Amino acid sequence: MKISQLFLILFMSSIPTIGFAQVPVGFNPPELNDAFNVGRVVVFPTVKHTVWYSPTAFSSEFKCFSGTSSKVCALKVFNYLSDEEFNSLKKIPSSDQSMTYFRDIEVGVVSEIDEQMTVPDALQSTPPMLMKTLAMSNDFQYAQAMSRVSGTDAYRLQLQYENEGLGFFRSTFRVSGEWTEDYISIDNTSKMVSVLKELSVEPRSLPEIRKKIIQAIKASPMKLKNFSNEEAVILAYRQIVVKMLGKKGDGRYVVSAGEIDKIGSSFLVVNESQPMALKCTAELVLKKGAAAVTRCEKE
Amino acid sequence: MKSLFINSLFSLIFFAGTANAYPDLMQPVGTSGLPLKVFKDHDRSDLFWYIPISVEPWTRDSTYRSALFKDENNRALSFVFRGQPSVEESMIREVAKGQKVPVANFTPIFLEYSKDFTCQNIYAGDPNVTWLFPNQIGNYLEMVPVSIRVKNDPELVNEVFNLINGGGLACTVSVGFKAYSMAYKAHYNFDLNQVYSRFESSAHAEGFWWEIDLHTVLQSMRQEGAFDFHLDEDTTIPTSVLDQKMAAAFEDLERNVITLLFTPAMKLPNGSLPDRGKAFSLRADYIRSEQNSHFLLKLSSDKVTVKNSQIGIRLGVK
Repeated sequence: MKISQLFLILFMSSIPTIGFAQVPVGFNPPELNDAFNVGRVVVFPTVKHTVWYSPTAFSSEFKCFSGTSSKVCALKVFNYLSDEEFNSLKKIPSSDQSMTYFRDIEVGVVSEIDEQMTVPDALQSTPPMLMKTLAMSNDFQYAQAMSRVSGTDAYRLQLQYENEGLGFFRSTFRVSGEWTEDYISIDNTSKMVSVLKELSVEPRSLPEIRKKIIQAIKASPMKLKNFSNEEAVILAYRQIVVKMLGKKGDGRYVVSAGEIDKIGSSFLVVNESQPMALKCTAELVLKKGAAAVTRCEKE
Repeated sequence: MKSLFINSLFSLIFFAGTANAYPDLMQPVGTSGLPLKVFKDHDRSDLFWYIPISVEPWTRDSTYRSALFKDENNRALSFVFRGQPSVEESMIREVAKGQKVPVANFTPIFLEYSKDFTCQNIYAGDPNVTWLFPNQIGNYLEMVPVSIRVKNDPELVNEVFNLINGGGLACTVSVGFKAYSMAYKAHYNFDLNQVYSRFESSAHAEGFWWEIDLHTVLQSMRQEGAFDFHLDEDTTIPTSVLDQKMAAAFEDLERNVITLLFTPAMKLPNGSLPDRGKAFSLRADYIRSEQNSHFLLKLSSDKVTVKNSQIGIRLGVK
């Protein structure tokens, strides 16, 4: 990015960040721009806070129990991560270990959850159990088809499960999130606030201010997207000068205490995020060893 | 199973001490990828709530537990289930460690209701099997009074015995709990330059805009589709309440547009003031820019609502 563009963004950045205090600071929706797959799940990384992943680690198991003339057969769908997937997720950088999946109760993140389980007639003596929550569990089955069948049918179903498969399980849902292009946020403003407090007591010339503020910015943790560190530091500095400093008659600059209070614990410099939604489908062939495949597309 | 069951005494003490405490569903806590949902308390940052995924067989001092009986000749079987919502204890410990708080600061979400208890009853219609389960099973799900009786068919008795002793039988129940949740999240995308031009071209001769006129023009522009509107809403909230919220959201939009494009009039026109609220002048220093042609305004609101979900119940003995 060229420096000439930075000043354009500086102005632009002051506009789209208007929001209201009701939104908790810690909350941020999934970032849909850089989604990628880790095994069966889709990861939505973010430069802001929480890294989300889709709870679509579906796998199946088919078992028949006891009986001589008849057997009880259950085709179960589970939703839990393999060790490999779990370890891969843990390696993805996120602040404060803020990685989690989304589920039905999280309004504004996931909606319109619909599920289907298509199985042979022999396994349909009762309707399939479908959770439709996207909740993950290492213990409890997420979906299940169960039936009493003859010994012959049990054998036939077992063979079918091991070869071509018994059908499919499909979960579709809508993920609402953000599509972020450029982003700069200073997460801990304590050093900047400290410098600004000094300036509220003693006005200084711009070169003196520049040195102190840039030092404070460089010492603060920042989250960036599409910016280098150098660009981010300059933009943050310019933002502070434009928004918070006032010029006195003698040419020196001062900041009012009221402006310092507005800065908060985090300081958003640039936020080019647009609301966006994806329609996701996770499909699992109900076959021994098969893994779910999850695809998400823009609506 | 290594599970963390709700200790009734602890829960009572906790809830007594945190009356009106609610999980905040807009503050999910990172679990480093663990299959567990944890949320911060809305008011206290050191309290955490987790959602049990399933009700598992429960025991205390080996005295209170699910009971499965079968007679010697396999002629009759009786099963009574006791269970509690649970999660893996190791998961709670790991999340607590990450948050640098004791495990005692984590508590399960209190269920407001349960209904529509459903089991996959593959024995429906079989005269030798009596499977009784209620539609509603209580708020804490501490005791799920499910009973299965089988008689007169040794093979069937063995079959049910093996099923219960094996992985258990799967049931589901709809539950609800109170939590702070997003009522709506609205995004308004619009061309601020166009909005300014619209006001500029239809300015009154005296150059003033009354509050009520601003409202009317903005409502008219809304109906014309000038404000591209994207909404995520909680569909479980009654429509009437949501409509009120949306009206409030548009009022917020109006306030923002007025702040951006207008200044309070310092000099009012001569003559009697019409009853139209405050008077404003269109800002002379407004700068049209490419950025302002893609203006984005975000509005949101949260409130305490009863969230509905579903959890599983594994009818087993251990």
